[in-house]
Order: sequence, then C-alpha cells, then structure tokens
Amino acid sequence: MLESVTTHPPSVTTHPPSVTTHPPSVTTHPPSVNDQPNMLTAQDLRVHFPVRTGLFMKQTGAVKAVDGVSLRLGVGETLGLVGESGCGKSTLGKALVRLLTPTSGKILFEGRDITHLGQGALRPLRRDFQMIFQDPAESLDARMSVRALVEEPFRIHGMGSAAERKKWVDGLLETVGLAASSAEKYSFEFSGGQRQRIGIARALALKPKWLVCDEPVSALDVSVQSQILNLLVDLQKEFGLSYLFIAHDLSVVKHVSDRVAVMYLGKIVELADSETIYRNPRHAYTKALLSAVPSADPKVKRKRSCWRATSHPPSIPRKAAPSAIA
Amino acid sequence: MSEHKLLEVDKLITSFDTERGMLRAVDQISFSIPAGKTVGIVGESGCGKSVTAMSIVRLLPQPSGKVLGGEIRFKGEDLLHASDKRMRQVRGGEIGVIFQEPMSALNPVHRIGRQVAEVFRIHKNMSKKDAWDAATEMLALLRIPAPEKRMMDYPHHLSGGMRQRVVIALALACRPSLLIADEPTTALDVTVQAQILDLLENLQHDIGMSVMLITHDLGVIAETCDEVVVMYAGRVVESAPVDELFGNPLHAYTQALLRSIPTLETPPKSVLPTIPGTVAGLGDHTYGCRFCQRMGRKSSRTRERPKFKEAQPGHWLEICKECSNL
Repeated sequence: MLESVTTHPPSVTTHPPSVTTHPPSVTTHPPSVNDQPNMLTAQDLRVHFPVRTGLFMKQTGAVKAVDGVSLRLGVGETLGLVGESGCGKSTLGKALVRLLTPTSGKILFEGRDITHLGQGALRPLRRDFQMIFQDPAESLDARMSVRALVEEPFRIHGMGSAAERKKWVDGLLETVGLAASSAEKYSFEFSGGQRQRIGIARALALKPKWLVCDEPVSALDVSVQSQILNLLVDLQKEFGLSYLFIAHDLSVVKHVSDRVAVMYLGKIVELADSETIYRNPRHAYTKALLSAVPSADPKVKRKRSCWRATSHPPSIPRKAAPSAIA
Repeated sequence: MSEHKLLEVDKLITSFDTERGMLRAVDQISFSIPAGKTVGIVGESGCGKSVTAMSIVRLLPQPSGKVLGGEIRFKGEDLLHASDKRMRQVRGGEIGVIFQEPMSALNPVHRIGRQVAEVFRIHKNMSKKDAWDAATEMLALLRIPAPEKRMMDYPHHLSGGMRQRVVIALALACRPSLLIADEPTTALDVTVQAQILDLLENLQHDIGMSVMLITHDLGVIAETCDEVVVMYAGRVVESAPVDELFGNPLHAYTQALLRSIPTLETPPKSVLPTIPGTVAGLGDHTYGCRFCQRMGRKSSRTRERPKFKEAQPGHWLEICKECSNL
C-alpha cells in the first residue's frame, strides 16, 4: 500500500537514507530498543512562562509548564506522552523541536546541544525534526493548494528545481495515500482524515529523523483514526522514524508506543515500556488515568473511584497537593 | 405504541435545500427512547446524528433545513406540528439540550450566573433573586466548586470541563424529562469525561430523565447507554440493547466500527482494521444499501431500499444480503 523509498525525494539532506541503517523492529517490545543510539535526549528540561500582573507588568510568578523533564528517544522508537490538557505535553513537544526556548536544561539531538541555538543555526536542523499538528483544518493554509503546501518545505530550504519538486510532491502524496489529482485542490476540499494526510506529507517532505505528533488523531472519527494510525506505523517501519506521540487517548497511545511517559503538572511521573505501564501502573496518577478510560465492552464496569472525589483536575497554576491524586 | 416510550421518532425525513436540490440528511429513520433510559446514537461524522437531534427540538438551520416527513412524538405529543410558542416551552423546559461545543454554547459577554438564571426566569417565571439562587444551587448540584464565585465569572474564566458543566446546568435547570446530549464529552480529557459521565448518570437517577447521547466514542456508549442506535449515511442500520449490540453486532458497519478502535488489549503497532473510503456526501447517496455503496458493491445500485426489521427480539437491523450477518 505504501510506495517504496524511491518515491521519496532524493536525499539532499545531510543524513543518509535511513531505511537501511535502521531496520524496523517487527517485534513489539524489542529489548534492543533501549540499547539503540539516542536520537534525542532531554536533561532536566524546564519551560517556565512568567506571570505578570499590575500596572507595570511586574513578574509575580511563573507557570511551570514543563518542570524538570528528562527523557530520551531512541532511533526508530515511539515514545508516547499522555496526560491531561494543561499538564504541559504540548509545551514539552514544542520545546523539544525548539519552537520554544527552554528556561533551563539541555536538549541533545544526536549528541549535539541544540538548547540555545538561534533561529539561523536551527534552520538546517529543522529538516531533521518536524511536527504533525492536531487540527489539520487549522494548521493548513486554506489559500494554498495542496501542491503548494507540500512543496513549501522544499522551497524554504531551497531544494531542487521546479520539476524535481513536482516529482517529490507527487511521490509524497502517494506515500501518504492521497490521489495525485489532489495536488491541485485546496485543503478545505478534503475530509478531516485526508487533511491530516496532507499534514503528514508536509512533515515528511524533508525526510525528518524524528517527529512530534501532537494529538494527530484526536480530531478524527474512529474509522479514519485507524487509517491514520496504520499510516504512521507503516511510515515508521519504512523510514525508520522516531515519534514523540502526544495524545490523551490512552488506547491510541498504547497502540503506537514502545514506551510511554505519563505527565502530570509539568513533570513526568512515570515512564516505562508500554506493556508494563498498562499492566502494572505504579503511580497513583497513572492508575487514575487508566481507570478513566471507557472500555468498549459493556460488561466491563468502570472502576474510577479515585477520581470521583476530586471535583476538578488540578491545573498547573493551581498546583494541587500530591495527596489530591492518591 | 405504548406509554413507556418517552420519545418516538417514526420515519423521520430531514432535508436541506442546497444548490443541488433537496438533499436528505436523515432518510426515514425510526427509533424510540424509553422513559428513564439512555439511548446512544453512534456513527461517523456526517451520518445525520446531530441533524436528527436538531430535528427533534426543531432547531434546524433556517431556512435550508426542513423536516419533510415522518412523526416525532414526545409523551404522545406531535412535536413537528406544535406551535412555536409550545416548542419554546418544550425546549429547555421538558427537553434539555447539551450542544456540541461548550465554548460556543455560552455567551462570552454575559456572566455565567446571568446565563443560568435566565433559564429559570424564562421557564419558571421566577423573580431575579429566586432565579439567581436557583442557578447557584444548580451549579452546586453539578459539583462546581465555589458556585457563588463562579456565578460572577465569564465563560472564558472557566476550564473546558467547568464550561461543559455550566452547559449541562443550563440543560438540566428545569429538570427535563429528556436530555439530548450531542457529543457532551468529546472535547474533554478522559478524567474529566469520566467525571461528567458519572455526574450525568447520578443526575439521571435523581431526576428520572431519559438521555439521548450522541457520540462517536464507542467506549462512552458501552459504559453509559442502555440501548444503541447505529446510524450510517442518514439511516439507522442497527439498533439493539447495549450488551446485545456489542456482543452480537449483526450489521457489517457496526462490526467494522467496533473493530477499528484500538483497545488496551490490541497488540501494539498491529495493523488496525479500517473502513475504506468515507461516508458518501448527501448528494451521492444511493437508494439501495449505503454501506454496500461505500464498499463499492454492485448490489448498492438497486432501486430497492433495504428493509429495517426486527431480526431478533429487540434487535433491529437493516436487512441487506451483503451487510447483515444473520
């Protein structure tokens, strides 16, 4: 169903075609994943937003959106990131692709410190990490044709001639399962699932090594959701991609992830391989989160006692006492 | 039929006047909601779920939306031919509606208190003070912390979950006998969703109302509903009690929907079954079986509409040679 590597734009980027170097792991939990070289490492990462009040906008405090997160992403690995809205998942994702500058801590991409690189120094690196956004309707410019949208990354990076770019775009559309005829249409002419495919084609254009998928399927119907999930898994196998997969749907995260990190109030409270975390959650918050997932089996009655008591989920500025989740 | 049916929808046809002529969004559907029960309406986007709900409360977009045929009986009363004045009493009074987006359902320039109190002022002719007190009590009933303070807030002060509670408070203010909830938890986190669903369940027992729950989340359906109606392309393809539907789905569409969701038990990164294609647009519907149309089967081109029959006691099904597994 997916096109082979040859349809992908020829490798003008700095990295060699990764397909051969990182054979996709077929087994679900290869122990080797942990031994694989790190694509990305974050050390004690913090992103604080100043809170300013009063006439002179004096800083009175800080929202600690990401507060001391350390993690690593292996080559060809999917790291799931779950947590409630406002726990800092998206901020963490954005900081890791340097759409935000962290307050402190370190981000190492293939061993290179990118924490404080300026926009100019980052630009060539941007080819290696891309982002897939939640709402394809809002993240795609309605005035650009699909061809222009998918071609944009090549133009920005000054890659290829017009004819080459046309060939690459056609190849990319085929890779993500869109008809070649769709290139001349506009994004609003497509359904939600197809729009998300356009978003994925854009993200894949520069042959990235790793992608932040920020809630890529939460705006989609279940039938379409499964198509997009299959596509992401296939692409990973084909191109040896690494994903940071952010979602609030735990079943979806478990389906795609090798390891899962659970985030709560800006911190990672539990991180383990996905099988372990779902079978044997250790942290009270993970347990609460899991018990809240509705099961598509009417015979399974939910046990969500732990959340019944709390009337509202604590947000970062409100910062609940740890006992609130026990 | 009998008296214990609170709402009966019989051969409802809802059409939209478009450039391409009158297009049927809802095509002769029949179902009923028993008193005190929760009935789930499930299907992909564009299947006519919301249009059905809007037809019941006569809030179709004007002037394009029209009910062309069929009957809607609420407590034996014909709602399609009720006067506008009577409908205003029914809406908000006897039938509460929770709209899809909690942000747009609230007026951003009025305080929460005024919006909730308004319901009591209009439907119960209360004095300003009494209405205010009743509204505060309603917020407390929905376990909104510090209701007196929240009454003075504007919608943007509240989190998504809190806003959704306010919208539910509006819908439940007059203790309706039927609550129509259109995707009440879709925009919310799982933990908040769990709280809202619990809340609805408790209130349902207290007030003794029926709930028509529109959602595309089969997990939510499995947990909260007594009966399920599966809609596809403007028609009801299957309806049955919840255990029966999940345990013994007979229509190919229902089976495909159930298969396409990853659960916590699905092997990670396995290929999820998908439903090819998308729901046909309103103008492209065939007269024959519409799921056959999606699957590209010839049988969909017949001029004969599949019959909707009671296949097993309580289990209704659209009978099509290809799609129904009897």
